[in-house]
Amino acid sequence: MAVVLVVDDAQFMRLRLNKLLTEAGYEVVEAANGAEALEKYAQRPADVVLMDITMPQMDGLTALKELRQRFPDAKVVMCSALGQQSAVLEAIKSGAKDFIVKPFQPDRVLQAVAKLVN
Amino acid sequence: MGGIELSPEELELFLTESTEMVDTMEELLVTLETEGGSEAVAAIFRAAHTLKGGAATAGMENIARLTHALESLLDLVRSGERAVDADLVDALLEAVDVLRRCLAAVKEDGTDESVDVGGLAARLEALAQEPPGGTPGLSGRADGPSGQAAPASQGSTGTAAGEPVQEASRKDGSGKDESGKLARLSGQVAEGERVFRFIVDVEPDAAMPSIRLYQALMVFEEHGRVLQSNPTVKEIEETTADHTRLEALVVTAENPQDVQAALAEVSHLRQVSWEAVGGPSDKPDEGAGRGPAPGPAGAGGAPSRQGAGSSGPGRKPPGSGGDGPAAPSAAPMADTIRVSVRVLDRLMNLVGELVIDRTRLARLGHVDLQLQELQEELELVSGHLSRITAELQDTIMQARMVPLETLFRKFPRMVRDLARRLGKDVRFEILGEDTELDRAVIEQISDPLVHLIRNAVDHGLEPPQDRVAAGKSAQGLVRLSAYHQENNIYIEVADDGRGIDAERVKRTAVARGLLTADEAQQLHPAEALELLFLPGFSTAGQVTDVSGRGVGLDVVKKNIERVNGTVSIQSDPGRGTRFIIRLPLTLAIVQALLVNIRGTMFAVPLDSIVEILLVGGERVRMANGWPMVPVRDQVIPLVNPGDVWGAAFAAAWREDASNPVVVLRSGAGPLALAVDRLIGEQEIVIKTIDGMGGQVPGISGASILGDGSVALILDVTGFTKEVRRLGTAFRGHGGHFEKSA
Repeated sequence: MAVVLVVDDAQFMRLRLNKLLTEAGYEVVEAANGAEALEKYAQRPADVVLMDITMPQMDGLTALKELRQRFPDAKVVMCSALGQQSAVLEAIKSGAKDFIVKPFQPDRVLQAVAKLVN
Repeated sequence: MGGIELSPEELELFLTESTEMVDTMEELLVTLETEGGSEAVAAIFRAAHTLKGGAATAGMENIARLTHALESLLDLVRSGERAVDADLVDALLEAVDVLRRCLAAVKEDGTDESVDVGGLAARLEALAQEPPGGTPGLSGRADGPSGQAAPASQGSTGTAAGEPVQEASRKDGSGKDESGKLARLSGQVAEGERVFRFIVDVEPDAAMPSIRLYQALMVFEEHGRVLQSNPTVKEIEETTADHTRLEALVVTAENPQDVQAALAEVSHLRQVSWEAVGGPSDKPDEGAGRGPAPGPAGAGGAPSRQGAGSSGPGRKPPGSGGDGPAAPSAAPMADTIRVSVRVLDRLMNLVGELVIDRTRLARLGHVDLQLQELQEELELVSGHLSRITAELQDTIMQARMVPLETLFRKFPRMVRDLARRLGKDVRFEILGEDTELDRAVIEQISDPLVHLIRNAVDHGLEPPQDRVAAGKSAQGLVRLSAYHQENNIYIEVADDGRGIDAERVKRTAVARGLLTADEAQQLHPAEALELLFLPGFSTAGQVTDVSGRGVGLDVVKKNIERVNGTVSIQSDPGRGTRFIIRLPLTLAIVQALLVNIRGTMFAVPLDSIVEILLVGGERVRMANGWPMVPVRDQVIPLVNPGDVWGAAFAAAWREDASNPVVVLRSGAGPLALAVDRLIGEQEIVIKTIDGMGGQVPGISGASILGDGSVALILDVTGFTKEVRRLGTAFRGHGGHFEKSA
């Protein structure tokens, strides 16, 4: 079973993504910030990481760069809100494979995850 | 290149675009013959080229082979080495027909294998071998060598969006660069590398589309180098503008197909196409490629939708009810239509607004509110809702509208072939082809128009010698025109031929037993022409395979009435004939007058109402057994719905008061309908009534009104016909007006 690491400081978002992905047959691991994400990934490399951009402690961009540095194969989908275009662009330059924009449309989330899992 | 497994969406896109290319080629070929012009040649060449690229990419080998032969031949025409003459145009048109058959086969079986193109391809090749300049007449118009007509913008990224770049180096081995710009660029192209122009489109509703294009540029850089792009990396990085299309000149040592495939890793790309730019890339299967973005097809992102008209109310399955004349070529209308991204965006926005309303409404159920507050909130929401739904309706209607050009474009070819076969010289004019009409209506009027145009060429126009003898030009004129007036679209088919002799029509009608000699005598010439629309009437002296196929104008009339249209005829003996078709703008929604008859609500389409009157009860006069009412200087027949549908629907007619009357437009002159009450004007959505369609004469469907009640929709044509049918029964007594008469 493919593993998806959901990184978001909002518990509600984690909950929703967890439900969506679990129902689609993925195993979900959650992390509430960038530091925790790095820790969880080191314990168990996920097939896909869904990474929120705006988070306290360690934000998504920093976490992305660090993650890619330590694990060059990490496949990261950035989760952004509208209006974060420059941050998304920076993420893409820093090696994020894809991005999705809130509010999430479930099929787009699944599409993005499925694409990287395959 | 081996056949690629295409997804249904890809196949559909391939078919839609290829059909457009074939249509374009056909249209231009007819223009080419009549007007000549290097631009037309260049445009046909481009269409063939694009078609070839798509076919090769899709693995449709016969189409690729045929288009390749076409391209070679057209290249000679373009360079002035081969003249344009009727033989050439015949062969090219035949190629168009065979391409259509190929596309039909692809639609059926997913491959064009079943169509034999060998003979035709050989013929095209033979034509390319023929010595040039045999017929100077038309060749002079081909503009000689300057027929290259190379677009000035070649090789630059400023090329108009979607316009295929021409390759001047088509001919094997000629290998010349297409422009100075490319020559400069060529310094950057190493051995084994080639330059391709890629066009990448992002799905219209994708968020941050510019970043998708940025990702595409990253992919290009991985697989080669980007020489130029629009937008540039810098433009994407420094502005937040949304770009949805990328044009990039890419140098790569890889196959363009592989680069295209690599773009699959970028999400939400709608379509990727590529073309070789200059350089030795003339392998027939490597000219150009185009297709939906590889990888998972974006759900619902493509700007086309299935069978826009298929759910249109009132639309019956094709072929049902009467066998209309066949269309000139088996060119099925693509069952997808293009909708502008702007329209889709607007729809999306409006749906978003609706969602907000839904949330507001749902909230009302959970929140404790005073009645007063509740009322205010409800008022706000309903105001907003009504504005949004009105806009939604407008926008959807706009999306359903298709220019008549899509239908008209097939006629020049038909007229040309017909004229050639009949030995007539015909000038065919089309006016107003940009007039827009609901797609469902367009589909329904195709057969009637084919019939009327064939009639005009075959029966309307005299043979050239007769025309000259009558002091007219040898060349006859057939004019197809469309225009918009009030809530209707008018389409006219006019010819300057012999016209129709009303007396002869009368005699034929009498001979066929359609009316008595006495009745015929009393008919006004204009009314006599209406006889042509009666079933079983045909004035054609002989049956030809062109229009005398046993299908008369009655079928034309029936088809047009099926979409709530009317058809009428005017003729000036010796000068010509004109058929006028009046069509509603749309089938789905009509402006109607609501009237109440004995407690039942009826909706009368506004476009069939002449006027609304109050008539004093005492003013009804009996004439010839008919109740008649005076309307200004006219006296028109008055009908009570009770006479048609029975006493349960009889309007009360008060002799001592004013009675509301709706004057209906009908083929045989106005008819006054008595009603109980006039309610008002309203837009209604037509719902067909399942299982009772056509069973009650004069009722075409029903509509649900704002308060949830149902109104029956009056089918004015059917109603007046029924009145006429019952007419004789009324004579001698006044029906429901008896007392007042």
